[in-house]
Amino acid sequence: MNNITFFTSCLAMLLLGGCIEERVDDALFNSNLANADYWSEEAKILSAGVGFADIIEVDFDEVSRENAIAAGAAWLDDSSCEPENTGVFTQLALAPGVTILYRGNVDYSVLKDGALGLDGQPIVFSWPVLSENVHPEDFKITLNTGEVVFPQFAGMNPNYEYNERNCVVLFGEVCNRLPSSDPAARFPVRVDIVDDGTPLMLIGPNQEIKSAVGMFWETTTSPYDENNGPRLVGAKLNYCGTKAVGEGVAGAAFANSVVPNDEFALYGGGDFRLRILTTGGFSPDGVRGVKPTDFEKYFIIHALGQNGDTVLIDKVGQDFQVLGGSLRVIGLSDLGLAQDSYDECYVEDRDNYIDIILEGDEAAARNITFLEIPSLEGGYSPFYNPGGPGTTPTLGVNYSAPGPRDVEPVIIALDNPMRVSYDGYRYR
Amino acid sequence: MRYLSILCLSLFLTSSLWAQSSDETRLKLSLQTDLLAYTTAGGWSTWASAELNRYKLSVAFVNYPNRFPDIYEETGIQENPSWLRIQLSRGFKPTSKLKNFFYGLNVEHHWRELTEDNNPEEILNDTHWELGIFAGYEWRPWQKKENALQHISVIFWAGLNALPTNSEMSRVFENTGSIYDIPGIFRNTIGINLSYTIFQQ
Repeated sequence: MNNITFFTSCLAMLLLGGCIEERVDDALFNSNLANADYWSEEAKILSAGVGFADIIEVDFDEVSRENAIAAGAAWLDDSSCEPENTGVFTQLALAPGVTILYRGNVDYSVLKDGALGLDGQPIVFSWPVLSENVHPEDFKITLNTGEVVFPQFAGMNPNYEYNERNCVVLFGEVCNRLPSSDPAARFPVRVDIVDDGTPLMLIGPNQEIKSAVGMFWETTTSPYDENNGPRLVGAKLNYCGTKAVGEGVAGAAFANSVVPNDEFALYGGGDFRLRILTTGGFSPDGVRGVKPTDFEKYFIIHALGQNGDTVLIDKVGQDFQVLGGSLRVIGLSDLGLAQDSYDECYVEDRDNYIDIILEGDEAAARNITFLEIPSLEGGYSPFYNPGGPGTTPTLGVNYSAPGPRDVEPVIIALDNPMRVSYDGYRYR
Repeated sequence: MRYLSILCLSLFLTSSLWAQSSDETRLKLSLQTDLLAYTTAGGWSTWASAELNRYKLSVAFVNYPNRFPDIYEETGIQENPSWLRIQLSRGFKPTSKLKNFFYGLNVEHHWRELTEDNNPEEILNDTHWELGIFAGYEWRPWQKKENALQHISVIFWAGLNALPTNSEMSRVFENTGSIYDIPGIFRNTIGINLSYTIFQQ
């Protein structure tokens, strides 16, 4: 063996070790949690309705206007963003993105009603999930037609940060784009968590671990019904503390894309974080991202006033006098990176969480009562999930509907933070 | 399973190399220590090497507390690793101008301990494999002396290790929610070994 042969062998050994494809799977499905919120004392499904149809894992060569429209995804003709940054023009997602980030396998042969891609269905739990046991076979989906199906994929993305992980996202063929009143409509009416041999596990108060098997969720509506878009399923107030524990971490594969996006990265901190949990990704139109400066467009915080009345906190940077003192909204976080200014090209994480960061008196914060999304009904902008129409919808295409007005009670978690941490490695 | 495969392949490579190096018969045994291990409080290393002709097989154990002080300064989390290293190297011909240079392969098994300030009840332990290539230079300043000094040499070497399981290495301190993040897939390695030849034939 000469020098060259020996050196080549050594190099091959290094490459064998080093060039093994980075295991995104390891980071997303390691069960790790760091200060992840649980949203009630009881483990349950908070929402499980299908979000949108047809636009995921589509087998096209490129993201383009033509392909987006062919798949039924919105395309922003009025966007002034850089053309090569196609992700801000459409929510069309090409193969093999889902195959890489989720567990499961694509099967285009089961697509129906002319669909070119898969449908998205977020399953939101009140407790964080131990992600190592998340598999498509955990979720039995019953359609309004009586058909029983399982999703093709299940995974944690985009709710991958260690202080999130309440929401499992499924992709499969489960719906079409017709409202529930249409006789030809097809959509999930029930989701059951079933035992696939590795039961889906949740973790909550006092590190209690509970199987999700047996939990179910039912509905009679479709996301293509009027005003039946995403809504709130949780609102929870915690101290910001001195650092954003669990934020922005799930592995090197995700570093620097949309994180750090916490209150310390955007505002240097704050006094209180009002975290909201939603039934689906929130977007102004289905395509564009929510900006950290958008509080006034979408949200109103209700608090008790000094005379027992209700004070509506609806402006950023303004002190509101409530019972116990004053409160001021700084802005939104858990979206995307901090920037000097925010425009329509802003890229955010599109997950099921948005944080409202406040400053003020603790006694005042304890008198926050509700978080409201007034939506169109209240004269505000609505939220859409990624199946929304964008601002230049294609004629004749049904897009998922805007969300309704929603008022969610705020859990005051200043004394008991209602959070859990878990080191997945320790229990393997 | 893939780690076992990698290890088996490396052992296979090792045995193949020995089998092909039978043209000369010069055996040298030495003991070494990596001086860099002593640059951290509580650090140490011990090596045993067997050299046959131009091939050298070394087995080392290294203890290196607080390996990444910059991470510790930022997070309060200290990584205290120790590792077993099997190092296979090949030198150049004695007649070559490069006769003091060598290069080779490292296979390492690491035991990792993580501790966090203000959280003494929680110590995290795990293990992983690293694979690497390296190159080095052996300096024999007293090789022509007729006394014990002739057995002493200083070996400088540096390389690059791959961590095939790096994406599995994120850990969480449950008491505090603190995270020890995933390391990069590649890591530099370096050594300055003080070597003493105990047997030469």
